[in-house]
Amino acid sequence: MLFLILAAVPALRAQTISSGPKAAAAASETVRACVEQLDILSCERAEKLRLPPKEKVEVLIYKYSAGPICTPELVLDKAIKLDPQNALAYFLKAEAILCTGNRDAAIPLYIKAIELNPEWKPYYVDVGLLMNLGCAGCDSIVLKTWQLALESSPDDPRVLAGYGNALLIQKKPNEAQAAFRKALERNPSDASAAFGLCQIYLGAPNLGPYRQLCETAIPGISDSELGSLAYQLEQKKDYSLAERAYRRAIAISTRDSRKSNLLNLAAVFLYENKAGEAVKIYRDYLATNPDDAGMWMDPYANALEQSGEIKKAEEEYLRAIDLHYECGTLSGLGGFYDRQKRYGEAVQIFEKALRENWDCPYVLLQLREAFAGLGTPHHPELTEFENKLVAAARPGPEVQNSDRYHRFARFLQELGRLEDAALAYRKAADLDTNEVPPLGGLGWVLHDLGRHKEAVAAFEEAERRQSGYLNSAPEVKRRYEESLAALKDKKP
Amino acid sequence: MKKLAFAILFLLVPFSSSYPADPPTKLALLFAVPQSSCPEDFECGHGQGAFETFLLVIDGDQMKVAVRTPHLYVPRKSGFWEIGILPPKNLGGEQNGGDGSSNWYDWKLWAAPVGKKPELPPFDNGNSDQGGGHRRLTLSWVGNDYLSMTDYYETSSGSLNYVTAPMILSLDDLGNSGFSTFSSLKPWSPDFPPGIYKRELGRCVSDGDPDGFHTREFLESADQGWNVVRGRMRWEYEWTFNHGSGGARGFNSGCATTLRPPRSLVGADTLVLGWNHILPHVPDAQTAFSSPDGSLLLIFTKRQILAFHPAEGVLTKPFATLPIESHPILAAQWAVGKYADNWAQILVQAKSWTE
Repeated sequence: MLFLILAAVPALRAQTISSGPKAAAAASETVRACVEQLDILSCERAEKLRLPPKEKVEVLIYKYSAGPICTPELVLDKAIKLDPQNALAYFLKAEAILCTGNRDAAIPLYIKAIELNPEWKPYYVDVGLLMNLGCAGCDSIVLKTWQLALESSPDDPRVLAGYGNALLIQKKPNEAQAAFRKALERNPSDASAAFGLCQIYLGAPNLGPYRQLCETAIPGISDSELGSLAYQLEQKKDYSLAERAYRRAIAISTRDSRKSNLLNLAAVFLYENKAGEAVKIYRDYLATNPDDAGMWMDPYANALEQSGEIKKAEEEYLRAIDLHYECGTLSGLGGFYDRQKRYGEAVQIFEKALRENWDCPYVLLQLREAFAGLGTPHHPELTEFENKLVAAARPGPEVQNSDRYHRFARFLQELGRLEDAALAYRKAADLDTNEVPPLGGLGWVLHDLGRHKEAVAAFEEAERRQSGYLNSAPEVKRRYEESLAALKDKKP
Repeated sequence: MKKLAFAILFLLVPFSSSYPADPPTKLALLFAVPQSSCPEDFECGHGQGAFETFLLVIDGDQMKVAVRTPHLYVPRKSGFWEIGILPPKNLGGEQNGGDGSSNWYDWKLWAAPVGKKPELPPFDNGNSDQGGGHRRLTLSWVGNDYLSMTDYYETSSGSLNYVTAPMILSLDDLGNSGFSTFSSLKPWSPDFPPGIYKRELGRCVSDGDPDGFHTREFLESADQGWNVVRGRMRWEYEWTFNHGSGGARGFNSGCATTLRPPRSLVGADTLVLGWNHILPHVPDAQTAFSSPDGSLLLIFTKRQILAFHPAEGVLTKPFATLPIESHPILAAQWAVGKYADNWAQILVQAKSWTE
């Protein structure tokens, strides 16, 4: 009974708030406990009080703050409705929305809050950094935001590199370079600025003297940046630096990206002839992720093979096939037999792979090499097998579409049956007059057949279908130019 | 193994909210956070869990990280202790502690004086569901004498269970036997008069809740648990309601509570300024700590720690800032004057039993 009376007190208080100085003092104390001490009970009581709008808004804002971090922003919406110029309500709403991962919605609210309270201009740096992460509709305001950030926080260590990154995203590399350089002049170990410059120079044919910049970046950039940097270094065959970047990424990454960084590091180890280290990574990975065995057993077996554990490697190749019977795992084992000079077994496995998938990448070539290994590169069995594959691959009447004929044409081209390939490419190009690559393929085989006039016609037809196609495919363009030159030479 | 004796003098400074005439020249805040690299993963645990402890030393107008260590160290009256979470042993293949392995349940929470190998309860396979499952332990707070943890586990065959069991455990109990199974240690629980409990539950009940997670029936039929977590201004309770089995299994709910952990549990923890004096200046403030003498206020945002001398209830410009990654704070303890250096010295030399 006593409890019921106590519980009713707040409601009574709310109703009697304007009834005397005592009640007013109690109300004031309730509001104070809410906004100063974030006392949730006081905030709930204060919300029910009849208060002037300004105080009511304060109560709503601090009631929000009294709750757990990242709670939904409903109470802030109420505050904004009562006071549409309340900077704090906008800022907290931006924070709440950012918690949900909706950067695009949070950014305009931060900007609104800063515009309403110029004392918060230093937060332009944070807004700019958010924009740099990607934001729909920010293109027109990102540089302006960074300029405001530079004006308000010239000494913020993040501002110059952040501005540089924004310029880089806006495809202004020269200005970006200047910003990064200025940042590095100020702080030679500024990882973000070093990363910005490193990225610019990674586009150059030779990293050379700029490699130091990438090294400076590694200790201070995020795991996703490290993953991207390591991948680019791997592409440039700078495996030792790629290894360092992956190692750092693994040390700081979250669970999911840690896995992919570990697997990427294993691949780098293989390039670096450190197969033993790759083996360890794959073995641990497969031990903790048995469901991924279908995908990673094969690279594991490959690492074992490279590290000299031949017997174990064969077992793992076979296990990969058991887990995932498809052309990729079969070709893995076939390649292993080929490298072990067990050509008979290699031939059998490659044939299985091709029966599984006739255009399994590179397997046809591997099969021919295996036959060559047997000392019979033109073995009648090979020709017979290839004929059977062609029969299996030929599109039936039910699949008369461009894509299917294009696949078939490429397969014939790989087989070296260029005349047949030309016919299939033509068919693919005719079945869908929007498709361009079949015409590139047609020109290519006609060029290889020495039928340059027809090749030029096919290449030019491709260019008519899609302007700029030849420039976008350098190998195709080279053949086009060779065919043109051949025609020119023929002219008297 | 060489045992390190950590005879530290732990100073319990009485809190004063007035600004002293002569602030101490040196203050240190020891705080612990989950490690960013693997917040919930055992892959990098190696027996000590994935935590980091920082000792922040503030000397005059200078603030620096004097110690940063990948362990969870807390000061106790008997010296520094280390707390850790030990995941199932990685035995390879199906026996790696993963979902299908026989030892998936074999998680341990331990506490011991720094350098001393903790008491680890042996794995009792009888407690785990043979059909497999998934489990993890997480910490939300560590004090001088207690910590707050949550035991999450799901069984994937037989009787399906989805249990979220928060509990507050004594560090002494953990030091004696460790925690491995649900009922191996008796948790500390708040002792409220029934009226207060009823009031708090009443505040939370919403019979019109369209999702049904705050109806009286849902809440009253759930297993309740208490955690301690860092709020904006203080250590706070987190009150959770879990349905581990039955038709509602796996559905959890929480209630905001006005009840606060007692000082006997979390120690002195009062901010020298009201939040309404902090937020307008630092709108991205996540939490804050006042030094025991009230001369210093540290505000943690998502990306930095701001240090202020709050004069007469007013926040001026920070006198120092330090970049930091955003983390929930798991532990925080102050050292004053010479004890700041003492702690730094001890922690620099500390060697975990896991190393």
